[in-house]
Amino acid sequence: MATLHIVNRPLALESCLELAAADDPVLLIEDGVYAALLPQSRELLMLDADAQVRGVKERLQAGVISIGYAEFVDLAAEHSPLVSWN
Amino acid sequence: MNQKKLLFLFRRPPYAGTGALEAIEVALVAGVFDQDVAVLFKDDGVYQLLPQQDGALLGGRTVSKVLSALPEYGIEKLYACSQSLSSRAIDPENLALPVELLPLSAQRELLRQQEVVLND
Amino acid sequence: MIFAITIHGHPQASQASHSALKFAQATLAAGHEIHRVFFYHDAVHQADEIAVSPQDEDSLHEQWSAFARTSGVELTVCIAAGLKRGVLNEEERRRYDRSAANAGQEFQIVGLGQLIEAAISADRLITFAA
Repeated sequence: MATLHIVNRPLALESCLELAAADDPVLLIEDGVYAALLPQSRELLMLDADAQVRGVKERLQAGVISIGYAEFVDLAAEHSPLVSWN
Repeated sequence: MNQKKLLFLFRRPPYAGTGALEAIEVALVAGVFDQDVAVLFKDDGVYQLLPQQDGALLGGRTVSKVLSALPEYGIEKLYACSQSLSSRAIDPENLALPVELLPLSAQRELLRQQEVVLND
Repeated sequence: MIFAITIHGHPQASQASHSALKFAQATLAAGHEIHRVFFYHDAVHQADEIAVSPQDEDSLHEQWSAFARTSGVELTVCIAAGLKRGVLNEEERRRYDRSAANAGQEFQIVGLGQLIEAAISADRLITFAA
């Protein structure tokens, strides 16, 4: 089963990507959504509500997919382990 | 009791508040509960491995000493990110406790084997 | 699926507690169970019932308390992390002869074993980091 990575600040993304396998989803939450402003080497998921709070939604790079809390829960249920990066 | 593969991912430096010690406590309790525990020191967490620490000067415990108790609780799978050590100019031959150095590919493999990951 | 949720971030210095509550609500809405919510590190401050929220801000403490009451989900706070940060229930107040207790009644003060028990018993453990 693939791992779900949850990144809550942009500086933690680099370390996360060192250990994220190609099929592991990487979800940006809280301040992690600021990483969606920068071009990335892979597809990233982003929690829509946190992007909306921070005014990030209008300036997204390509390859960032917005999801809600319901999908966050689905992702957590479908992946193991769940790894948080801060 | 159920035994699971638990990985403790330690990325915090040892003396910036209580976080590092509190995370080590969780690992020790996991050992008491007879879980299959591994610990990976990565990023600033590798500072926890520097020898000659002295927490008494801060009026508290010495983190490397607390870490040395891990094997007594049955926790012997101790790993450190070799890249994190070298980028911080830490000599891997002179660490406060015996750890296996892992390159990124081996860390990915370690992560893949886990059921639960806890961080500090 | 059975979830265990642990929270590390300080309620006033981090979004962790807010995110965790939203996640918890969505978890139940999706028909899953929550074995336990465990507040550790600075998140233990969420149990403090005497903190006063400004009038134009939501009280996360009250929202968690209401969540616990309506859902029956167990909210737990690490006793050692709470003591050193000044989050005490009445029992600990008496034990250490302190002038006040401040832990809300929906928050159970427990040992670290409860975190490991939750990690082992649940299908998933999710951490809302600092």
